[in-house]
Amino acid sequence: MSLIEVKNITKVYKIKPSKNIFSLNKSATKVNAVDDISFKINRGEIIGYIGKNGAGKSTTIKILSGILLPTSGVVTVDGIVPYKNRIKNARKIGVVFGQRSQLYWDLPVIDSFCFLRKLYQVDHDTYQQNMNYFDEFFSLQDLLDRPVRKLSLGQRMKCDLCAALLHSPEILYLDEPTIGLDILTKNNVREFIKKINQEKKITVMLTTHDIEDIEHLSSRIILIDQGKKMYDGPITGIQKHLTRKRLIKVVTEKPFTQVLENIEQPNIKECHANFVIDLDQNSIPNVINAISGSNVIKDITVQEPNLEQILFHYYQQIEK
Amino acid sequence: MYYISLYYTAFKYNLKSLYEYRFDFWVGIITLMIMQGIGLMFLWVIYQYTTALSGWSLNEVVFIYGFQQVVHSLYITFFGNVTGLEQLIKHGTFDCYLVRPAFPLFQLMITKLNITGFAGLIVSIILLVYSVYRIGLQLNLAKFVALMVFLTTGVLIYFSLSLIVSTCAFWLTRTMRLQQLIFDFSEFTRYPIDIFHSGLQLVLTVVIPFALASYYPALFFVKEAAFLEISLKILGGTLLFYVISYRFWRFGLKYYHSTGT
Amino acid sequence: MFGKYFSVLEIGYRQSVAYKGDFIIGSISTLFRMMILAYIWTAVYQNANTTVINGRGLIETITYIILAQLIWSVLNTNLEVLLGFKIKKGEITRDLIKPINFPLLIFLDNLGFSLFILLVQTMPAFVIACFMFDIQTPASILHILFTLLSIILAFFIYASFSFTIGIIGFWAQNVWGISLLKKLIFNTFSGSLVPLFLYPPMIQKWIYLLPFKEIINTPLVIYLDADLQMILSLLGRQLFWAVTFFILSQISWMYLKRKIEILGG
Ligand SMILES: Nc1ncnc2c1ncn2[C@@H]1O[C@H](COP(=O)(O)OP(=O)(O)O)[C@@H](O)[C@H]1O
Ligand SMILES: [Mg+2]
Repeated sequence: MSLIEVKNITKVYKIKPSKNIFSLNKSATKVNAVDDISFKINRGEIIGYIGKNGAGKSTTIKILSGILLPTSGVVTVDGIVPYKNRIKNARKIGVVFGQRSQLYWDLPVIDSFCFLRKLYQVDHDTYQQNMNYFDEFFSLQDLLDRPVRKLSLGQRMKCDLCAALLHSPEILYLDEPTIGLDILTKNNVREFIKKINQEKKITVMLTTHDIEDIEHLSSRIILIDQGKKMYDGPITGIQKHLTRKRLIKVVTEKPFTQVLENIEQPNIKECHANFVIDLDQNSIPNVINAISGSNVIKDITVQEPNLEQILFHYYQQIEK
Repeated sequence: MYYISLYYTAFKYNLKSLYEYRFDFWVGIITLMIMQGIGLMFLWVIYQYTTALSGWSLNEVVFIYGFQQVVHSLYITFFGNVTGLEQLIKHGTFDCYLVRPAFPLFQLMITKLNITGFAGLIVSIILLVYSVYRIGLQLNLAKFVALMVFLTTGVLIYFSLSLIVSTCAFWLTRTMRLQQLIFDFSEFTRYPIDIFHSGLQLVLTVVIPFALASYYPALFFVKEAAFLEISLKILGGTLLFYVISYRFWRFGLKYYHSTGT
Repeated sequence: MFGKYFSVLEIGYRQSVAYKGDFIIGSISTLFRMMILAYIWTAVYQNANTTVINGRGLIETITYIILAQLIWSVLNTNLEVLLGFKIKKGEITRDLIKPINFPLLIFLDNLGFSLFILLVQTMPAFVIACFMFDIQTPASILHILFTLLSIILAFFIYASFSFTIGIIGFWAQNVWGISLLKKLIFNTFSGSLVPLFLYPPMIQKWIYLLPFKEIINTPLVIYLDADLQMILSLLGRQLFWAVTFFILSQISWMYLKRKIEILGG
């Protein structure tokens, strides 16, 4: 049996047009933030849950962690329905919301840890073990005595991550954990997530729109858009899905003004043009011929698109 | 037991958190204490020109005043954070509370330490004890128990009213002002409410029943009003408002679970 | 010359319009405070079986109380908290660039706010209170004008004082406690809580030595009964305090400016 089972969950938000008390009679608009999504996650997996802003990622995480009630559908996490048995579920999970911290703002980090330790009733040995483990990786020792308000964003994120793991949860939900971090810290955080997944067998579900997170961490992604599941499977699958595409970058002598047939969304800046072609409809020599007919090609590169470009392309397709 | 030790831990860190700004902290604490003294001075000035207000002597009014202040300080100390729900929801911190294995209302209560209440408590207890002594009130065991019970019900009334307003934060973006409005009514109940308009007296007893938390207990202790009638009023009112507020809170929480923000 | 100051004033006013819901409640709070004090003193006069206390009748006392709340609710804006915010958020560096004397800028910003408070929050409360209680009408138009002038001076005294408090708050890293202390002092010694003439004469003597009476008691003495000569001397004394406190705020501002220039905001 899978650790997390999600069956046909839907979440409908009603948005009131105005918060003014005098206009209550205006009808509310409905948003299907999550629309009939199902998936299963097995113990020990790292799932990349990706989608654009507003796709419904946070909503899903909130339902899984017991904060929100789905409008319809059922979720079970290790046999527990999180929104019905919130407290029991809470002991098994750790959650980090990327942009908000659960640490005491004015106090040294260690104080927040001690408080959480009490709250989750973590025994002394486990606490020590976990702290040593975190310290080994992040060198927390230097940070622990500093007030949270004096930490950098990256340092705070590391501490928040550890705070969520203090009670050795089985599952870790991360909502945009790398947002706003610099490349080094991002890498550091990713390595850490990978490490705890491998060594502690913690199941991780992270939402992100940073594709590199996914490329580094998870072999399986779930892609959602406008609340609907668009893809669920290994990254390679989605790559294959689009391997007949090629990204072409051309530098020409004169400003690029041509209209090319069978080419989607050229991205043109004076003499530089980027576009994606589909090998089933077009061929590279064709394109080169078409361009050099009226212009001089100074440089040209042809690439297999990376995941980010694929997704960018994918989103554009969905929009049409 | 779990919640008691959790309360203690939170208390420790919250105190530490306040202490980060030492100088200002002490200035504030001492000011708060003086402020309550000023209230007493105000009463003293009034009684320079009269011996009784609607039949209440200075020491008797100090009893009401002290009683109200003790209740208010206790409320602030233990439940003052309830008013912060609005901020927690706005900053998303409330979601963090919901993914932890403890009651959200409890976590809300221990968000931070309201030292204002704590400082007030010390002075107001002194005021109350002083007035008991000056009135010559004989506190036998029964009366002492009654005093404790009425202090508790008083705090519960304050808590209930505050919880009702705070819970509105699940629907409204701002509740602070509403909170202030409701608690402005409590200022009336530092004095014998007989001196106010009768309509206002009714409001303070039935609609926003702060009078049940200070004036009515004083009627019993100072004016020796019938215990049964007074206690029925107080206990009934407290129970009613407590149940309403807790139900409303559960309802609000359910609403939050189903809509988010 | 004054155009730029005026525009600051206007923005202060505009910003506050956004919070109109708050002001209804603020208005009710003000009314409540007027009511509590007026009821209490009515009861005192009744129970004392006298029509005159310390030379003043009930109507004069109630007029004083209600007008004192009116002035207090206008003056009592949290300028020092605003200043604290500006410093913490680094907005102050932006204000440093503006070609305006900074304390004056903040005062005007606050004056816009105060005028708005007067209009939407205090006036409604005042009008209702006028229906509920008997209030003494002013002796002449001139008295009204002099009272208004006196209130403006009071505003500058209070604003300068608050500004200085705000700087102390910057030095102490937090402004909560000191701000509370400031309020306590003004509440007690300005006449906003107890009309100064109702303090026992022995205490009055001391309170009159302090400058805090200038913000509430002085305008109200002018309103209630002062003759022209006395009005002028009262205004002169107020002006003296206004200048003194303004200089104080300028000095503390220079301290802050130096600190900011060193620390980089
Ligand atoms: N509390 C809410 N009330 C109404 N609509 C909401 C609420 N939270 C999110 N939404 C809407 O639901 C959709 C999904 O939001 P969210 O799950 O936060 O997306 P993501 O995290 O992927 O950016 C968005 O269109 C958003 O506007
Ligand atoms: Mg999100």
